[in-house]
Formats: sequence, structure tokens, C-alpha cells
Amino acid sequence: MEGFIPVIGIEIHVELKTGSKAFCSCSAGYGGEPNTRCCPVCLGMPGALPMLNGEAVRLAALAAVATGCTVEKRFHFDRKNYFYPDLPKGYQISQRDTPIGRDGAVRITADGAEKDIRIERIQLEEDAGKLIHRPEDGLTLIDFNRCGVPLIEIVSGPDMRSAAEAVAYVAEIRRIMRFYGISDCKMNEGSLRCDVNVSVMREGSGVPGTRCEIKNINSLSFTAKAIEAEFERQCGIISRGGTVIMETRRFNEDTGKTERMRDKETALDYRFIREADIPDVTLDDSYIDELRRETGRTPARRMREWRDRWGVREDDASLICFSREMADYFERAAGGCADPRVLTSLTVGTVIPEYGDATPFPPEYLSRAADLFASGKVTSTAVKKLIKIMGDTGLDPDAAAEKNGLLTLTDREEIRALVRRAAENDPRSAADVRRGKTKAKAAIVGGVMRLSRGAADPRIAAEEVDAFFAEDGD
Amino acid sequence: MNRELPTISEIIEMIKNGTASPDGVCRSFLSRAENDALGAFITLTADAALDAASAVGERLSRGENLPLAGVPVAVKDNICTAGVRCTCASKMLENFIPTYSATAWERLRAAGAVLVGKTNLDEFAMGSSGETSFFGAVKNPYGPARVAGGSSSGSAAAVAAGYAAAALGSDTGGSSRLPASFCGLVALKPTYGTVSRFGLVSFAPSLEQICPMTLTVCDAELIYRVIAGRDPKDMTSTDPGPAGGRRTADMKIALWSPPGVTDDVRGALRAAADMLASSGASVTEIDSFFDPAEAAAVYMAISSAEASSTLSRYDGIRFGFSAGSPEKTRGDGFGKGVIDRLLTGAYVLTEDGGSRYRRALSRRAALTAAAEEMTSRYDVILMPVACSAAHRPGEGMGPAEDGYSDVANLSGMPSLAVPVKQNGDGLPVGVGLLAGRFREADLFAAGRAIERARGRFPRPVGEVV
Repeated sequence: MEGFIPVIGIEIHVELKTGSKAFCSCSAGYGGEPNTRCCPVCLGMPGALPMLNGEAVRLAALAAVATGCTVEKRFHFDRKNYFYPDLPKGYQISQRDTPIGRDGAVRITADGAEKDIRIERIQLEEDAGKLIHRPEDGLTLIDFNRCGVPLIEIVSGPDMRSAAEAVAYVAEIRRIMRFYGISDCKMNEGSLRCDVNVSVMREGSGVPGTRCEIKNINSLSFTAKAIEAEFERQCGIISRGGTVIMETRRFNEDTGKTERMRDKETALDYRFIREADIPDVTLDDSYIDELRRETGRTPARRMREWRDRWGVREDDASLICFSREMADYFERAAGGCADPRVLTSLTVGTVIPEYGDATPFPPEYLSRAADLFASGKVTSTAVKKLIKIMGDTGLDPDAAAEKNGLLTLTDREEIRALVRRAAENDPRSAADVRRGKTKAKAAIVGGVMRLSRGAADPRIAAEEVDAFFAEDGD
Repeated sequence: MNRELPTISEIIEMIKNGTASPDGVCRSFLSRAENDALGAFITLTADAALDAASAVGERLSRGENLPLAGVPVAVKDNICTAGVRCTCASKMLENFIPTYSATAWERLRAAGAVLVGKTNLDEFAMGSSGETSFFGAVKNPYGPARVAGGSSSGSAAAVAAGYAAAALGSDTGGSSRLPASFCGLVALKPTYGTVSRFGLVSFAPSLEQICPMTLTVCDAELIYRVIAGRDPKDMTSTDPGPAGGRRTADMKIALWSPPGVTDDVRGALRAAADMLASSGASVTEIDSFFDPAEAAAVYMAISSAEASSTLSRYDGIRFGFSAGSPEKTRGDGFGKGVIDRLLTGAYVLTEDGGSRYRRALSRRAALTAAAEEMTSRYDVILMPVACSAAHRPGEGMGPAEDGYSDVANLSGMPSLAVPVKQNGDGLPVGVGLLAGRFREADLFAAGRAIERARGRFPRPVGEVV
């Protein structure tokens, strides 16, 4: 769209990873048989009162600290009133006047450039239930299990200028939330949901046009597609001389287009009112200081540091930063290791797929294993086995390699003997080689590796195979 | 018929010394309650009451210490008691049976109290005359041609008529003190938060409290000490102030006798002031410290706004009355008084982006500051509960006249209604006592001083009882 730039702001809803719901002791876990995780409080029964979950406050405040927000020291809750069958009280307990976090920012990298995206506010609120439409009898059923699960809504500034930036922003928020254990952020389970505001601006004008909100996007790729489709739609309207109407839209995954949900005329008036059932909450300085200490260095900062110090590529660093435990582990291992690049590939390729962030041996073991491989003392196959053996037995890498014969075999005498046996075991390949089919040598090398249980140095094995057949031919 | 009704203290004493049994006390109150001619009850739980009384007898024989053993209590039908329908006097909840009990009732039950039944009220506790119930109006035991006052109309009638020894009411803007005043009873609107609101079907959460309604000040204190205290089910709950208060002789009392009240009320205020002075208190007459018309307007704005949110849950989907769509359910399920409040509340919250609501909040803060200033200078303020004795059905009271009791709810302060005298028609006239937050002990002391000087308040005369 020549001459136009998209202006994008995003509201992200993140379900907090608490054991119980925001205002009652029902389980906040995903799923469950419908309506088995609810009680008079989360069902809004007459006379029941909300009891604020301290862990939800802590995670929301942690999210505020981790995104550079100022934490509100004294806040209250407001009721956002609207009717919907999945909202049992007829209002959502939310925060309008005093969001728990304000004026933060996160740094993203998109299209090869770094950029700060402002966070205007983070508010603590509760989730609603779910409607289940049953086509066989046309009934709509309600599952209240999700009702009252704590959420934070993270509202960005209108700072993104491309779908790639928007995706990078959502990914960064997701990383931060997962890193600090604030949320699972599983878009497919709805524990992270995006509403995207899109408007267009003429290049150089600095003034964005009328915006439209696209609700409930449930994957990163749909976020990009929805923004592109909406940008295209608005540009089309403006180029034809029309006007964009402020409205709420949804992304149709089948057509790849956005479509109208409701326009401004039917916009809801939420009749906000103070939630008098919950007294003001005061967080003292020591509480916030403790969160700051707990937060430490953000994943984005660590990733930059790793790049500068150890040459860790962004995609690898991003994988390692899936959890704080993993990032801490990696840093300890990398600090004691001769070749952090080798360590990085072992971490990403073997340790994380095998153990997630619950590695059963100390980081020093991983450093040593990486060093054994980097110095050629174990092969690439052997080092993977070594990691599994350390996990299973708790043996240190040197002992584990020794006991299991994983140290690379470099003794040419021994390897020569193995070549002879491999040729005897596989007379057909040996015959092929002798007839001049040099490709068949690979089978013999493979045989040597098998006989040595992966321990033979593959370079020496290849040389000895060459030597064997050269002598043989004489 | 004119007879004395036993107070809670007397019942406790009789059961303790063996001159009465919980079962016998229960039967005696039930014999009157079962002939309820006042419309006091929505649901009478006679059989369960007898079972509960027997159970209390057994607990006593096992040596349990029950501070309210065998005391028959009526509970306003907007306070949940597990397994008994809780209607709020509304078609909307005509058949709603809660699975949980209000903490206040749970504490009374644990202390040995026996539930007689659930009492009538203005629908959803919105009203001051007891006439807006889906189940019909409540009559005043002191004169069937008069209203009992509301919204705790049935609780007041039940205690005055001897259907129960005490009742729980609720008070959002005078709803326990006004009917108490009309029916010759004592009612305490406690300091906000000192009685758990868990199980009270909410209408205006920032204003309402559950209240003891009794024959005497001593009885109100007995009930209050049992139901008060922090409750893990209500975040706004807190522990009460200390039980021991000043002696009346050491008290500075302000008398506010505004021009807008009837001679009956003015006379009662003067009489109460004399009684307090005779017990040694220093009584000073003061000018108005707030405008009751303004208090009533602020009360109406805030309570309606809160109601419009709090009552959103009645949509016919999960419980209660349903007429199909939520719109029709609400249109058919709520009475006119409730609908008027909900519309008022929606207007207050919507108009000019809610500026009316915000203005009401700032005026509430100003009223609270004025009341705090006055209660810092005086221990107790003696003032009207209502502008008159009980009126006739349909007459109602203007908003300005209804404003005296609102200041306690708006400020969170405790307020005690105490009967002082009967007017020429035999109708009770009460006065209100207001003190700073957590100063219930001062109210009880002043209230007892009035009672001592007054003597036992005459019980109703006539056929309705």
C-alpha cells in the first residue's frame, strides 16, 4: 500500500498461572469437566462475595515490574457492567481507575531493527466462562470453569508500524510472561489472547486515521494475517475516497479477511463503578522491591548479553529463554565452558528437548560434556549419549564417558583391527569397494562405528578404511 | 391483650436455671408466630425450629456452653440460611434455596440460636415502609392501619409481636433503624465491616450491614458480640471495637433536634436528652451538621448506582425466576420499586460519563468528614431516626424526611435506634444515636441510660398480636 503506514496497538489478555481463581478457591487450571470448577462466588450467587487471591496480585505486579511499568502502590477494583450469558454477575471485576501497572515498555527486534514498544497499562481482572454452541440441537451451553480465572490485560501504545513488529511484540510479551512463570501463554488454550487496533496513517502525516479493533485473535500467524488484511481493507477504503468507520471486527480464518462484529452505535456503555466488595489494596515498598529483586535481568537483556559475550544467536537464545530456570542454568554452564557455541547447540539440540528446564544434573556437568566434545574426546553421537547417561545415572561426564566407553577411539592400531572385522562382516560391501565402487566405503566406516559403539573417531576410521583397501589392492 | 415478652437475657437466664427449656421457649414463640396476622414472615420454619431447639437442649445437656442457647431468632429474607428459600421478597427469587448460610446467621446458630423463620421486607431491601414486598405489605403491631417501616419490616413486626426474641435485619440507609423506631424496638446499624456481609443478598455493598433488632439495648449488644468480627469470606469485614465503653456520666452528648420533624419526634428527642442528662451526661444542643435532603440525594444516587450493578446477576440463566429472555425475566421478575432504582442507577452511572456518580462520591466524602468532625467533638449524637412515627400505608415519606439515618451508612459509622415513648395514638417514637466508627460501646451505654430512665417499653395492645 504505497504511501500508507499501519498504526497498530495491541491489548493482550494473559491468564495468570495461579492455583486458584482470582476471587475464590476454585481451581484455575485449564479444562476439566464442564461446571466442576465453580462455586457460589464465581457463579455470582446471591450473597456470595469475592476474596482477592494474593498470588494473582503478586503475578500481576511481577508482570508490571518485568515490563518496566510503575507499580500502583494503592489500587482498587472497578466493576465493568455488561450482559453476556457467560458473565454470571453481570459485571467483570476489573481495574479502570488504578491499573496495577502503568507506563512501561518492552524492546523488540523486528525487520532487523530494535524498537521500544510502550505499555500504557496493565490491569488485573477476571476471565468469563465459555459458551458451547451445540449444532445437533441448536442449544447453547455454558461452562463456568474458566469464570473467575485471573487475567491481566496489557495495553500497548499505538507504536507498531508493521505486522512483523506486532508479532515480535506479542512474542516478547509471551516470552516475558513465561520466563517469570506469570502465565503459560498457550494461545490454543486461550491463556494468551490478542485484540489488535489498526488504523492507517499517510506517510509523513504523523496523524493516524480512525481505528478498528480486531477481537480475539488466537495465534501469532493469524495476528500477522489479520493486521495485513485489515491494513489492506482500510487502505482500499481511503484510496476509494471513503471513510473508515470505528468498529469492532473479527478475523475470519477461512476467508483471511476481517469482518464487522459491531459498530460504534451499538458500542457498550460499561457503567463503571467502584467494586465495594474489595477494599483498596496497598503494596508497600518492600513488596515491590522484592519483586524487583526477583525479576533481575529481563530475558531480552540476557539475550543481548549472551550475543555479545558468547556469540549466541537470537533464535537459540530465544529458545533457551523459554524459562527462567533454563536461562539461569545455561548462564552457569556457559560461564564454565571453553566453547559456549558448542554448549549452546547441545542445550538447544539435546538438553531442552530431553529435559525441558528440569535438567537432572548440574550445569558444570554440561560444561564439561561440551568441552569433551569440543576437544574431540567424544564424538557428536557420543556426547548425546553422554548427556542421557548423566541424566539417568547422575555420574559426572568423565566417569560416565569412561564407564560407557564413550571416549573417542583414536588409537590407529585398534581402529585398523576394527576395519578388518567390519570388512569381514560385510563381504558384499568390501567386494564392491574392491570392484572400484568407492561409495561402498561408507558402509565399512559405518561398520567400524557400530563395532566401536560410536566411539571411533570417524575421521581416523575413514582414513584407515582407505588405507585398508589400498593395501588390500596391492 | 397486653403482656410482657421475655428479653434474650431473660430467656438465657430461664434456660440456664431450668425454669424453661429451649423446646418450651421455641413452642411459646411459635404459637404466636404461627398465627402471624401481620405478614411478618415469608417462610416460617416451625418444624425445623423445634428440631433445632431440641438439638440445642441436647447440646446443653452435654455441657456445651452456648451463649444464645434456645433464643428464637427471625432472619430477614435477604440473609441466606442454607436449605431455606431466600426470596428477598421478590418474584425473582421466589423459589431460590441457597446452599450456604450467611456468616452472621451461622455464628448465631453456633451460639445456640434457633431459626423461627424468614421475614418479609421491601423487595430486595429497597424501601422504607415495608409495602413493596411481592408477598404483601407488613402491618405494624402497634396499629394495623400503620406501616411497620422498612425495609426490615417483617423482622421488626416479628420481634415486636413476640414471634421471635430477636431478629436480624439489614440496613442500607436506615432499613433496620426505621422499622425498629416504628415498632418500638432497638436496632443497631453496626460500624461498616464489623459484621460480615457474606450471605446477605447484596444491593448496595458499600452501605449495607446486617443488624440486630431486639427489645432491649442489652439484647442488641448480646447479638452484636456474637455476629461481629472478621470473616474470611468477606474482605470488607473487620473486628469490632472494644466492648467496654465510657460511663454515661463521662459522656459529652450532642442533641440535634432539626426543625423538619414532627412534635412527636421533637418530644422524644427532648425526653431522651433529659434521660441522658439525668444519668450524668453533659448534653449540648447543636445546629444541623448536615443537610438530610442532601444526604438522602447522595444516598439515592450511590445506592441506586450500586444496585444497578449488583442486581445485574438476576438474568434467569442460572437460578431464580426466568421468563425466557433476560430482558423479560427482569421486566417480569422485579417489582416497580426495584426497576425504578435500577433505572436511576443506570442513569447515575451513564449520564455525562458518570459525572453524577462521581459528584455523589465526593459529596459522600464531605458528609463523612462533617460527621467525623462532629463525632470527634461529642461521644454520641442524639438525633432523629425518622421525622415521624409510623405513617399510614401509601403515604410514604419524602426523601428529605428519610435522610437522617443515611449519614451512618454513608460514613460507615454505627447508629443505634432506641424507643423512647408512645405518641397519642399509641405509636412508638424512637430516637437515633450516632457515634464514631468502632464506638458501639458508647452507643450501648447511652442507649441503656435511656432505657433505665424510661423503664420497660410497653408492648403492643390489640388483636393483631
